[in-house]
Amino acid sequence: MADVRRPPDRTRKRSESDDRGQLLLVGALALAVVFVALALLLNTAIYTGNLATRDSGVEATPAIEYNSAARHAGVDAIASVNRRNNTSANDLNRAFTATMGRWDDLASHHRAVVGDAADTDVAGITNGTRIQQDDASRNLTTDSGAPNWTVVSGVSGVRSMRFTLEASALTDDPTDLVADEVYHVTVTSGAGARTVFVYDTPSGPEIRVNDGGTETTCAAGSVTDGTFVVDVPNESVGGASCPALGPVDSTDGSASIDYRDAGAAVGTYTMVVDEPPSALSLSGVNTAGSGAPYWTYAVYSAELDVTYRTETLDYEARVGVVPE
Amino acid sequence: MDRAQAHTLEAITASLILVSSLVFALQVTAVTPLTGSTSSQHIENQQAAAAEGALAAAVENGTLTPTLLYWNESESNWHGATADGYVQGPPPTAFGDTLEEMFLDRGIVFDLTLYYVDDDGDRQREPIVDLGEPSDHASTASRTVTLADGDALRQPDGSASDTALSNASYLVSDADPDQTLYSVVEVELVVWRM
Repeated sequence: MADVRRPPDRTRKRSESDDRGQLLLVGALALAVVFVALALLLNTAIYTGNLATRDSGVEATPAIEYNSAARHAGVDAIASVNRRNNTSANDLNRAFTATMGRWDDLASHHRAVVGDAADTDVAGITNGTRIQQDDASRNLTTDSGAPNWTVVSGVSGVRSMRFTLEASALTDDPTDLVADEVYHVTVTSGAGARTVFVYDTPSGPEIRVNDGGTETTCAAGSVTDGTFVVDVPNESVGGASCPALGPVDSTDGSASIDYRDAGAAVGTYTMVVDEPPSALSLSGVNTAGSGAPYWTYAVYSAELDVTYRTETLDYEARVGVVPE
Repeated sequence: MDRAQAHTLEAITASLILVSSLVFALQVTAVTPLTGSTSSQHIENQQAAAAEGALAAAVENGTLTPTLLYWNESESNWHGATADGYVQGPPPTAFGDTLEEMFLDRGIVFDLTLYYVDDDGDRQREPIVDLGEPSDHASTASRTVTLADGDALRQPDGSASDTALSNASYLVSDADPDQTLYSVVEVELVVWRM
C-alpha cells in the first residue's frame, strides 16, 4: 500500500493530523467490509427463502398420469378390437398393436412439446376366447338344448362375466335351490367352487352366491323392461351392489365354468376366457350366428411397456391391461 | 509503532474486502421480482397444485371430456363462445362450474386451452376459455385426454346429443378410423392471480 505519511521534516502537530488521516482511511475500509458482509448476508437469506419454496424432489406426476392414460387406452383398444377384428387371433393382435401405436404417436407428440419423452410399446398379448349368447329370448342351454353343461374348462382366467336375464322366466320362489331346479352357474378352480343361483321372488329377482358353503343373498336393484343384469366384475345385480360376487371370477389354477338347470333362465350372456379357441373343447357353443351360444376370438389381456423420461426422471414400467 | 499497527489493520481490512467481494461475486443470486418475496412463490406453488387437482378431479369424475365435447357443429365453435373461446367466464358445464368456484370466485383467472394433432401431424391450439394474457406468475397444469368414437357431442344444456364423434364435424378429426380410438388431445389450464 502507498505510504500516506508526509515527509518526516514536518512539525509534530502535522504528524498528528497525518495519523488522523490514516485513521479515517482505516475506518472507511472497515465500513466497506461491513457493507459487503451485509450484502452477502442478505443474499444468503434471499437464496435460502428461494430454495425453501422450490418444489422438493422429482416431479413424478406426469409419468404416473401417462402410465394411467396408457392403461386406459389399452383397455379401450382391447374392447375395440374384440368387437371389430374378431375373425382371427392374428387380426386381433395386428389391430391391437396398430391402434396402440396410433395412440402412442398422438400422446407422445403432446408430451414431446414440454420436453418429455414418452413411449408405449405392446410387450405381449394373451389371446383368449369370448363365449356369448345374443338371443335374448333363448334359454341358457347348449346349442342343442342340454340344460346341464360345461361352458368351458381348462382355463386359468375368466373376465367380463355378465348375464342379462329375463325376470319372468326364472324359477319362482324356490324353497330348495337345487331340488327346485333353479338356474345356477358354478366356477370351479383351485380357489374353490363358487356358485351363483338366480331365481325370482314376489319382491323381485334375487341371486344367491354360495362361496364354499357360505351363502349370501342379493336382491336385484331394478328390473328394466323385464330384464336385469348380473354383472360379476362390477359386483352388481340389477345395478345394486353385491360384494359377494367379487370372488366368483377370481380363479386359481385350472378353472371350469358349468351351467346347471339352464332351461330355467332366458337371456344373453358374455364372458372372456384366457385360452385360445384351439385349446378348448367348446362342445356346447360351436354354432355361430344362430343366436345360440357361440365363441369368437378375443384378446384376453395385454402387457404394455411404458417409458417416460424427463430431465430428472427416467421411468419404466410393464403394465398389465385386463379389461373388466 | 501506532502507524505500523494502522498499516496492519489497513492491510487486513483490504484483504477482507477483496475476499468477501469475491465470495459475493461467486454466490450472488439474481434478484428477480420473485425472489423479493418468497410468499408469492408459495402462492404460485399452491395455484399449480390447485390447477393440477382441478384437472385430476375432472378426469376422475368424468366431467372433463363433456366440456371438450360442448361443441356446436353448425357454428364450428363451442356453444355460445366467441372466436377466441369463452372470454367472460367458463362454459356452463360441470367442469366450468368447478373452475368458476375454484378460481374465478377467489380472484384467480385462468385460460383453458385444447391442443390437438391435425391431419398433417401438426399440433394445433384452440382456446376454450380465454380470460387474458397470463402474467409472469402463472402456473400451468395439463392433462392428456383420449377421445373415443362413441363419445357424444353435448347439447347447449349439457346433455348428450345423438351425434357421436365418429359422425360429427368436430374440431379434431378421427385419428384412427379402424378402431374406437378417436384422438388424443391435451387440455392445458393456466392460472394466475390478477
